[in-house]
Amino acid sequence: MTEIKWLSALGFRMSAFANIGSSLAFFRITFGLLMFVAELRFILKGWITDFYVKPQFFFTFYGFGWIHPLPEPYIEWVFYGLVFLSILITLGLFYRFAIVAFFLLFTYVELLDKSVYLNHYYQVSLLAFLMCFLPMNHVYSLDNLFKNKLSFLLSNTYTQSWMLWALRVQVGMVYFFGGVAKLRYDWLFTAQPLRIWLSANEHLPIVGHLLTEKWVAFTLSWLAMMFDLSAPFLLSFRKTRLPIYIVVVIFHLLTHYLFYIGMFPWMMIFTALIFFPADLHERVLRVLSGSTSRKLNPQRRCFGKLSKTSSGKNCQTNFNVGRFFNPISIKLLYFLGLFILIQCLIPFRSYFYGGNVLWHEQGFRFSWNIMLMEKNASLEYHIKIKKTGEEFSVNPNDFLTKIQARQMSFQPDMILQFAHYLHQYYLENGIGDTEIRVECYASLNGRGSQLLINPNIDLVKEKEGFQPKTWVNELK
Amino acid sequence: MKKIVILITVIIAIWACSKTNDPVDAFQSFDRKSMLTNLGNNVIIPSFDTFYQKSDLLDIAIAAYTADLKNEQKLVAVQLAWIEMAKAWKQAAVFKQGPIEDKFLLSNIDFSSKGSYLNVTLLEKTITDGITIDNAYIETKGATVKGIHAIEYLIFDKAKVNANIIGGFTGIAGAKRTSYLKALSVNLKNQAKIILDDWKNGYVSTFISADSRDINSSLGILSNKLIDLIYTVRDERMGAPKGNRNGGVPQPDLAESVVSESSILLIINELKGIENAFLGRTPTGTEGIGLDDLLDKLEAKSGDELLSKKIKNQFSLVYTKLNAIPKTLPIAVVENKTEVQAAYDEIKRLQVMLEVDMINNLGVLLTFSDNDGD
Repeated sequence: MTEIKWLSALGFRMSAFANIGSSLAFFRITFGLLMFVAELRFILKGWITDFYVKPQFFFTFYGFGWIHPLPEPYIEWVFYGLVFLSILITLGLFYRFAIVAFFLLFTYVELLDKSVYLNHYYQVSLLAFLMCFLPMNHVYSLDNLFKNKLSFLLSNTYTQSWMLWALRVQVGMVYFFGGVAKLRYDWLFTAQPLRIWLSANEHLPIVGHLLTEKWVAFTLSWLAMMFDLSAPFLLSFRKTRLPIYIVVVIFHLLTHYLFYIGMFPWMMIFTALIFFPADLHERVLRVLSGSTSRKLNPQRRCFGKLSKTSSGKNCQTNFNVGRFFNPISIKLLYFLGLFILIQCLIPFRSYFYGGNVLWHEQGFRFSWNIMLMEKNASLEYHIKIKKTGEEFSVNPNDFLTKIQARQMSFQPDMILQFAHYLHQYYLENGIGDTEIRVECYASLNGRGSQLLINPNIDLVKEKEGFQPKTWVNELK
Repeated sequence: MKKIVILITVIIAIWACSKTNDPVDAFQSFDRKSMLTNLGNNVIIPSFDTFYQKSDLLDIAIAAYTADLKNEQKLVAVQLAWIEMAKAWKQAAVFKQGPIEDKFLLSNIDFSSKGSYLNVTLLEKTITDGITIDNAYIETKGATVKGIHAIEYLIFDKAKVNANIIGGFTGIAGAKRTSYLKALSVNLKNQAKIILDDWKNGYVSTFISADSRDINSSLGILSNKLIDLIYTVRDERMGAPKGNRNGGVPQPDLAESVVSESSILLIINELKGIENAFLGRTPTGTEGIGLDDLLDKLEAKSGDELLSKKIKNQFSLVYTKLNAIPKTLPIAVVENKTEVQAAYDEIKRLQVMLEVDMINNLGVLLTFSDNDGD
């Protein structure tokens, strides 16, 4: 009997909209588990202390200067909270609360310090934001299991196919814009920074000696560019989906072994599964829930709050086209459409500044500039006390953690921020008003070192913000 | 799609290959592991071996002198032996990874903190407080009263009057002073022996096998040490006495080894150690595979010139400028500012070449966090 129910339910789910709820649930669980691992890893590596306790100064984002890290032990609670919330998200328990809280806490942490900015953290924030508006707990969730008692947990929104596409677009954009970002001289015509990075992996067995070959760096650069640009589209078509997904897996495993990009490869490998048809998600979920807690199945199979009983028939009646486009979801659709549109524009803002974005880094963040540069610098501040005319030099290493010092050494906006911090520091410490100039030699993608910042400019007089940074030298 | 990919790949491959009229062929046998093998076996171990030999010779000279305290000739022999030992140490000092760091030996040998190398008051007190003054006594003492600078303090006189030194060893509490000198020397020799043995018996294979590019790889750590040391040379050894921390007003006392008047000599040897690592060169001057070859393999350039060549030239320019300083550093920072500044500027240029240009091409990771690939 149960088997017949299963089969009928499965048959139903093969139909047009049927499994969207399952796909959403699949994505929710994948995301929850990824975040669980990511946050746990962050805690276990001791990074809370290294990134958010040790520093005496934080590089906040422009306009977010009011955001400060909580003192110990509360900052740790934030991370324990994130772990806990990721479990709630995975289980689909108090989902709405969990995802909103997760989005807020995660974004809060990311806003604390630019020096630890990573593109994939940005992607997590974006996905979490999107997921706040989607009913990802309608099936395969504890919310659904307890719905009779906790009916308020399920929202009124129905699962609709555009929701699936919203997630796919969000995932696909990373590839597409990652590909657009590779359409640059360095990447295409000097194979940099891959040439440097691949050579540095000479120790790897079998492929090691190949990695030092110039043609390998060129081939991989071009293939990566084409892969990034085409992946979201090829993942969208049935015929090309599986082959390109195999490429996705190989590509990300390669980047995992060759580079030190943390959770990013895993996040992409798993989130890209959203491109697969819903019956695959359904099958995976059934295997998972069947093997873990058989009892939950009857309720879990069904869709939404309208499935008052556990029978497949009732599920079927849930989908009535008239209610499909209710006014709330149309508004939501517009809102999320705008959300996606803005994201499509943000990566292009750097073009308005002219020059090489890898060098001046105006409009560099939030633009999917992934793996585009090997850049490092030697930075020194020259301070002149106005009152006495006395001059001395400051090495930012004395004020910052090693990671902060390295990251800020080649990023003009952070160099300016720190100059202002020093200015304030000397005012408060009785030294008085100062002029602050920097001597910063930077090297980008194998080019010889050159002055990044005009050494004659008093940075105290320069303002932070989005206006062009005229005090950054042009790349020669 | 597939066809296009294959076509483009082939085009790129042909284009890339046709451009290979470069020095790559010369380095066919080169790889990072053979570089580490050369550095470990032919540069680092011999450097510490030399340091050990020289510390042993110093110990012998001290034994000879302490048996004949009024013999100025033997004291001069000790002074010369100290200089040789200090040179050898400075040439090995960049190789701090492994035994020196794992066993916290640096503070036993060569303490320095912001231009301070010794605590003279505490040192004198440690001598007079001593009852049984031997190696065990030294081992209980802190970094500011032992190592190469403590020995230097006992065997050199600021006024260059050897009689003053002999007076110290033969006068009141002279016996304690003599014992302390002997114990310091034994202790230093022990440190040198521990480092050498550790490198020979095992650490060298650890060094060679850690051939990846992360922060814990041998090349990663060595790069960090190299950058740290060149910065120390510029900022602490040269910058501080020059007056960088004092609004441009010289602070001669912040120079290293003022009393033996060997500040510049030791700076040169510290840079030699960095240069040896860069060139894969043995302490006796035989060049092997080093970081320079790695840069050449990558065709790293600075302008039109090979980066490796530019860095090599910069090293010799730095030596020329340092040797052009006519007086000892503590005097020159006051009297020969132009020459000191010129040397300082060239060291700074060298620092940028190593820290920025060289590191940019090595692709090693200098911090431990995840990255976006930047």
